[in-house]
Amino acid sequence: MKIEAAPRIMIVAAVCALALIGVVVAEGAARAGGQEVLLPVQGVDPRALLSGHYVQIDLSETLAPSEHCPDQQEGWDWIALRPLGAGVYGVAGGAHSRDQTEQIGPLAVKGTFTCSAPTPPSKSDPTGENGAIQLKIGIDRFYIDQARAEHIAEVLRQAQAGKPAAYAIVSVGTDGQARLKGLKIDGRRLELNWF
Amino acid sequence: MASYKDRVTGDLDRWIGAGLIGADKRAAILATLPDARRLDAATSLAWLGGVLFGIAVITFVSANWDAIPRLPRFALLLATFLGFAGASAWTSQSRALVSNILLTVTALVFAAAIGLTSQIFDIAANPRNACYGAGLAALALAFAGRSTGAAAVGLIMIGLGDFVEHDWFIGGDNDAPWTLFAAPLGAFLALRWGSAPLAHLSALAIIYCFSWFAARTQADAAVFLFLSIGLAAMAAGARWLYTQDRPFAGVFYGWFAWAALAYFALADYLPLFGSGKPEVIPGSAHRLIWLAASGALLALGRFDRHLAVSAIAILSLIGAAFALMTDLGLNLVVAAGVFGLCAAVALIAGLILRGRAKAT
Repeated sequence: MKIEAAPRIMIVAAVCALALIGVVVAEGAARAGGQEVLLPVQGVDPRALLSGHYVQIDLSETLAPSEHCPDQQEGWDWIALRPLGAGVYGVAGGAHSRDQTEQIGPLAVKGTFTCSAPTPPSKSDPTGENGAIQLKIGIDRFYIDQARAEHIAEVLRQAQAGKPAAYAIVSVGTDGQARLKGLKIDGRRLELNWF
Repeated sequence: MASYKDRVTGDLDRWIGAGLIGADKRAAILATLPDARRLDAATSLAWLGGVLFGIAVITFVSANWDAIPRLPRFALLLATFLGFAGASAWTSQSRALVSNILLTVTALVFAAAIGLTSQIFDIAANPRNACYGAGLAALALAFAGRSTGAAAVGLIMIGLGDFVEHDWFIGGDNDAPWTLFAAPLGAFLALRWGSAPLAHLSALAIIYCFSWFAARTQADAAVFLFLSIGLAAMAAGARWLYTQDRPFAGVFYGWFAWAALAYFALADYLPLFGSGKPEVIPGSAHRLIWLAASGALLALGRFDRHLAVSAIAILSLIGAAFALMTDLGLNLVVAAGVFGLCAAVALIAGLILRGRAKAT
């Protein structure tokens, strides 16, 4: 049976459209069903590109001078997260499989991190220097309208000066994938929804 | 390059002038030959307009559309995509060119829709998968509507997917590029559907696949020689198709001949970095083979009336001569000897060929 070009085109187009809808629905379900964690956010700025306005998110955890960088296994691509309290999570270490990651920390998420080690207090520097862990879990921006993006940027600039921090609300699915649910700024949740 | 019909027209005029056939047969003979497809100014502008319109749509929907809620935004995307697909389907029977352009725009809109959907719903999409998805959709649309433009979009998107977040050329990735399947498919479609842009794209994609293979093997000189021979064989295959008047086979002939000579020339300079220079062919022999191959290709290009191949051969000859002069420390006496030897070989070969032609 020979199908004419016109129905062929429409069938392929319908399959493409359904695939796109399927991705949106599946991602929405995975986001809703995952475990919610709060991850500290630093160094953000609003951008206006062709793709619209967004807030650039830098998932970064500060390490006190007395702390040290989490251990990592060779060839690792999973991160172990551990609860720090009030729903906030921090990095416990890195491993190359989910099972091994869960032995390091209770929650495993796909991704990597880089750590700049803190400097412990010494005679020449009695207070020491803070270190930082930067997470790379596929979340680096939050799309939002320009006015709110600029407001968030302002709040976060103040947070960098020592005021209360902001958090990314992240859903960690059963597949280990991190999905952004929103931002928590000044205790106020800005969540993604369908509308 | 003159089309088959143009060449027959020239021959017919000569035959009529020589009295071999009657002038009254000229129109009847030419009527049996199809006109070569030429891209006139109006068609070129239609293509340009179509593509620019697609880009305008993409830019418009990507611009700051904060005021529109998420679901309507997504619906707008899907409606735009389906609208272009529907328009292409509607014109597929009566206006093939318009349908082709519309399907190309449809493929571009779908590529944009993937990116915008991940933006609308903040889906952390893997750019590589997004490019591959857009490429596969474009190829599927191309097959559905026999669209050379959509096929070109598919090839480009898959090529982009291969480049995005990949470290093949520094040994950081072990998976195979999708171009390995997309490039031969593009070549097949270019020859089957007679599309020059698709032919150029797929020829470049095939050469890219060869480069990927070379990079995987640490860019070894022996591998480059092996790949050069493989490309030369492919150029020979493309030449055979070209002599059979297969439309756009000449594009592959030109690109593969260029790549074969380039790989051969590079082989003697590897490894590019680091110490040591393992010579698979001794330097002087390499240069002589390079010169001879360039000369042979020039003769072949002239014989086939393929301007691009002739030009490639001339550039290659210049490169080989320059390399030889550099090797010999600009010793002009020795260089003159080598060039004299090459000239003698070329003259003798030419005389033999002429003798054979006269004998037949």
